[in-house]
Amino acid sequence: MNGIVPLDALKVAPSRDTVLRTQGVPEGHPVPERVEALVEEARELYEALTRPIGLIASISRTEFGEVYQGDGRNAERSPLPGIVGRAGHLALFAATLGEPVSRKIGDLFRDQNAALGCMLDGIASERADSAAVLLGQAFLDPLLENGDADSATRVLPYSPGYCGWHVSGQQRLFAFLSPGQIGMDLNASCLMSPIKSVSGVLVAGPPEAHAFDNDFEFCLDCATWECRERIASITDPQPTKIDRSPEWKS
Amino acid sequence: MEILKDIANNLIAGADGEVAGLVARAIESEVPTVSILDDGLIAGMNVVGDRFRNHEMYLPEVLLSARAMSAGVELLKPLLIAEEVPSRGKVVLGSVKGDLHDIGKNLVGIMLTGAGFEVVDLGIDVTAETFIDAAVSEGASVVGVSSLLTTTMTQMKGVVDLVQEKGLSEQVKVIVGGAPLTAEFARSIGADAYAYDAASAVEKILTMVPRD
Repeated sequence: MNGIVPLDALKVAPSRDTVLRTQGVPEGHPVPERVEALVEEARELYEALTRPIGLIASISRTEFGEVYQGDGRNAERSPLPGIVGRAGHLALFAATLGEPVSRKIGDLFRDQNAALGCMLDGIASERADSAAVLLGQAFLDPLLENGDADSATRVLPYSPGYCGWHVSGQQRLFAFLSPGQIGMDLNASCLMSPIKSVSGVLVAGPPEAHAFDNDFEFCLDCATWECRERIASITDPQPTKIDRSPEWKS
Repeated sequence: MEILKDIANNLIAGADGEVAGLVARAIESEVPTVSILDDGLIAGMNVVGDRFRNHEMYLPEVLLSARAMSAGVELLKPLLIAEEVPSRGKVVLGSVKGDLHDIGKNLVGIMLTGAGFEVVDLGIDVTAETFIDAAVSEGASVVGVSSLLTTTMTQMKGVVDLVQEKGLSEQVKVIVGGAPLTAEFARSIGADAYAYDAASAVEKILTMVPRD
């Protein structure tokens, strides 16, 4: 699959419960009327403003090596080269929710309406993450149809800025993918606009291809552990609670 | 005073219209400006901060309370200026160079404002030089640096180092925060403080800027 991918499913706002989860509200916590009204207002705003669209381009390991190298500022050791080495297929991706929703979030904060701004931001972030998942599926489907992947194949997105891949890697990624065609741009600091956009590489391979020991230098400083949860979600059919002790390495 | 309790309670409930109405009434009744601020608005925000820390209130409710706080402060502003009431202190905030994530930083700004601080928000993608120049020109005693990426959090050391290079370590304290950060990382780069979340940022900054 290469080219522009419509992401119509993302024109719909996530459910009330998902929106509240993006705000850190635990399931079942009683929510006052004012907050319920805010959730509805944010969902309506999102649906009125979002313009989701994505882009995929298959890429060989050799070509990706060039993209990944960027301007040589990646961590000395990082997991992605190993993951890519074990992968079956790769594609670069980019997706955006469009300028209006990103601009509205900034406007709401400037207008001292952080309550609505934060909720709209949470919705947009959740939808942007979902864009990467949908593009992963759009990448996987033709691989399955052509027999280039099987039911065990899992696709995960990896992005510049995370896990040792320096954010300056965006420059070569953008040069290869040309996401200007879907309205995306990079600034001098390699930050994307519109802000509510995602980009990176989709890696298709067996579940174990995505696993890595968390013994990299940046792992020691990192407190999010999201990579562990992602790996657990595809390698363990019934994911157990993630052990966040520093000794746990795989 | 009953009206101050009402201001605090309505602020806790996130009722911005009611808070504005009550503050206007308190001003008309010649309640001292500092009392309206300290015993009404800030007292309410203190309760909100405690409940947030204790997981009795969550972010949306906190932000509605902050919106109510703003509605009240807007009315008080001309009086605070006229009476030369000093703020709790001044804090420069920003997301570090190469990082466009700003929600956490914005929340810290909102909660600091609620606690009576003046906040200078430099936005996202802020260089070390810009942080320090702003701290000096604004006379801020605290610089808050945010990062959401493991690849940009290392830029935070540049801010700490520049404070030291310029001999500002006594006047300007640096607090760091952001999802991937740990207290150990903050210590390793020589930051003065680390905040786990927006509420703990306010708590730490209150100790960094003791009240006169």
